[in-house]
Amino acid sequence: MLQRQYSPEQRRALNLIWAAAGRYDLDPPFMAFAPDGQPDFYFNCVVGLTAKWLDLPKLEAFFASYGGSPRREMFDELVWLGLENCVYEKELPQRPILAALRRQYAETFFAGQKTMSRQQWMAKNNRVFEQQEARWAPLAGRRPPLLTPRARELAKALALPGSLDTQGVIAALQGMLQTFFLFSGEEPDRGPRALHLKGLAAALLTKLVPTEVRHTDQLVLRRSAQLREVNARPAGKALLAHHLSTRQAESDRAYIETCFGRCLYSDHDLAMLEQELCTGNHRTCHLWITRGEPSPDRPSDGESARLARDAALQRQRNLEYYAQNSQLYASSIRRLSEQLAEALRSYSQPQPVRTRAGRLNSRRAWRAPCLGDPAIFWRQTEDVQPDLSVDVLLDASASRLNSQETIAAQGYILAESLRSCGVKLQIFAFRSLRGYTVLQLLKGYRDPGCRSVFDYFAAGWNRDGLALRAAARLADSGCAHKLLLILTDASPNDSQKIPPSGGIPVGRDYGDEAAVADTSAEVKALRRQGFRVGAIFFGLDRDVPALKTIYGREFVRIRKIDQLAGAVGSLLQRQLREMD
Amino acid sequence: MLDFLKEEGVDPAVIRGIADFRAEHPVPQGMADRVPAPRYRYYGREVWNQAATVLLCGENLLLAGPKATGKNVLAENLAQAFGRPCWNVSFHINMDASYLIGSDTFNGEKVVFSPGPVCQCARYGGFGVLDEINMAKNEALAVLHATLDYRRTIDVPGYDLIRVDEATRFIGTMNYGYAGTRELNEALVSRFAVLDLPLISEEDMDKLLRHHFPQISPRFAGQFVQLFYDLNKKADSAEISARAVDLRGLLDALRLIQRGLDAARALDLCITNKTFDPYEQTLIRDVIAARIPKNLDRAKVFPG
Repeated sequence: MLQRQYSPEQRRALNLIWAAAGRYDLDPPFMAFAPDGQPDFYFNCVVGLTAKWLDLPKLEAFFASYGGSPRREMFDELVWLGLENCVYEKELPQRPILAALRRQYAETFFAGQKTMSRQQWMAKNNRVFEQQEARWAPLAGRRPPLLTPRARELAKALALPGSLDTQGVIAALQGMLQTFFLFSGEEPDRGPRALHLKGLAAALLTKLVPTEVRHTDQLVLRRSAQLREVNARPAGKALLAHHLSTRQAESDRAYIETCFGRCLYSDHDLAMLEQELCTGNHRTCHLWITRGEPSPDRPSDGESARLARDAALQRQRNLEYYAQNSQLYASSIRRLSEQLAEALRSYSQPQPVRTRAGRLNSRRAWRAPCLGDPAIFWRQTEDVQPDLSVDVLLDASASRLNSQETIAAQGYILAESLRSCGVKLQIFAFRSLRGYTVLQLLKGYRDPGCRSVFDYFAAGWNRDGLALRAAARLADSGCAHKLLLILTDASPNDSQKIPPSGGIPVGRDYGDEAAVADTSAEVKALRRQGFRVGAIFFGLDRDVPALKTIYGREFVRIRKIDQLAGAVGSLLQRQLREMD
Repeated sequence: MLDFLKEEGVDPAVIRGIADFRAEHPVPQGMADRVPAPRYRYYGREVWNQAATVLLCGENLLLAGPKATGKNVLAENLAQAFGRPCWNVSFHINMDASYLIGSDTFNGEKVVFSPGPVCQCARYGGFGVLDEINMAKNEALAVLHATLDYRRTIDVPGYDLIRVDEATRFIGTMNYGYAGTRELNEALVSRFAVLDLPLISEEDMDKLLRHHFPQISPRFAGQFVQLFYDLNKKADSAEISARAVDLRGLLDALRLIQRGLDAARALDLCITNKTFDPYEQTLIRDVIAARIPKNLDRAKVFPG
């Protein structure tokens, strides 16, 4: 019943735990689920109450002490049975309903047995099961099971009293494991086995198993299921120093076109755009603006066909991920739309209407004595169209490989919420490859739906300065107020070097301080043009100073990528509050 | 009301000050109906001391705080304690000067000035409650500057200069950072003393419940208080919206239980259903279920 992994209903289970613990900064080591996958109400409360009454880090160290044991699952069940009694006794005076919840749990425990399959019965550990029966039978009004004297002693040892503190609880549980299971805490930790392969075997396995992808100038779309949980860690930029670029203009362009689809601009218009934007630090760079539609001019070779397949696969994964959590996301869309609608109402344009009281409209004054029409005044009323457009830039460099599905889902939430509020919204994914900064238009101002946001995929580098400059140039909404928001790790990096300039006679890598200075200058230039530029930061602590250098105080930091849409919402509200 | 302040432990000097103010400024004729008789009392000794002192010194008061901190309840309580007629103006984005000061209207013969709530308040020495003051655009509020500062006048173009009565005070309320609000400009804020209202304390909320429901079982009163705090924490952590953090709703639910509805239905009606998102409703019901039994009925909550 107790498990270490999160289920699709995890948010509800977490909420139960947080509410019982009375704190929401908690990352619980366990969550409890019923066999049907629904969160178990009572035991999640118990987990929360454990965090409330006992020192969780110390308990986690205790859980870890037997984490390598093959009997870990049995120990987990028994330890939680012990903790349940302890925190129940502690909390009961403050929460009388706990007695009823406990009774209800006991009744459900026995009711569940009737519907269990033979496989489920076989999977049960007898020693755990008899202890659970012994605990819950009296509460459910049933006769307790017949226990051996040894099992009776164990049941007694598991009825930890509420008077114990954390040290006492841990000592009692350690004693229980030692006495009844001869577990001294010295069983070796059997971590995952590591196998190092080279040569042909490595090449073969790389094809067969999931792999982590790092920044290169070769577009690869693969992912590692194991890396989902560590998605806060950028997938490495260590290759920067070792990167070797040997490119030829024509083959690079062909490569970009086959990978990302045809450009939205004609050759002439694109050249004009590059002439305007690829200047200064970016003068050796190129731009590619695309919707990801395959190019009819480029015959599909083996590589591009594979890439198209991978991109389609990623889209499929994005859609499936969204579908799995659609209930939660539909709720997020509703909530965000509501907040934004309220905030945007402040920026609606007033319209005068004729009324019976208000400011006298002298042109109509004659109507009162002559026609008896009292509506000779006017008042301001509201028109609900906000004169505002939002452009969102999603970093789609390889550092986002581990959170592609979540970013796509969050982008969709944002797009749907803003669309329902009538705000003009444009979303780009940006990444750089072989000297090209590619802006993939995921949603244009006039696109009726938002499903194309699921075309998001990550690959390559990120040249933030040029991407911001290009996105601002493409923000042609015609609105008086323009917001430009960027999802960033504040660590711009590109394989295309900064060319030598007057002051610095040698070329520099586009990374670290030089790239931060370039992006910062770009943001300042955009603000001078009247854009409100804000950042949603999802990255490492070490990049926070760079973030502040680039964006000043106009940023929101998110710790999990699923906070993206909410963060954009709050950044938007903050910008709106300060806008007149 | 003054007896209540004594019970609350408000500074005797402040209570004396209020009594003197009342003696000095009797309710104008025909305005007795406008002196509020609030349904709820505001509990919080420190807040009472500070707010009453500000008003006794002739200053205007800005009450800032999140939802369910009792901003409007305190404003009404103050008007009642000081015995002043009250005008309540709910601010919104399209608020303009004419809405506050007054506007022209046609009385069948000629165009005449129809005074707005701020004018009335100034003339009759009332308490003007400027509710959600930061919802309005700052330009619309500029008209109040002369009214709120030492000049204490309202200049209505084309009409008279209205002198603000000595007993007049303005009490603004605002929920900072609430969706749709704006930054108040410095000029306006400087004309108020700003009082940050805390969330009602457990002890005060317990008193509030016992005042309104003298027969409530102490055990369940405690659980309803804790339920309110559980919901508030959940809203603070952005797991649910602030709609469910509704003190009024909780009191209404208790009223329904007193009338005979079971707790689950009463809390659904007055708390859970105020949000329309099914998932959020599930989370709210979970919080409730961890405090209040579903089948809890009148006999258990109100044993007397």
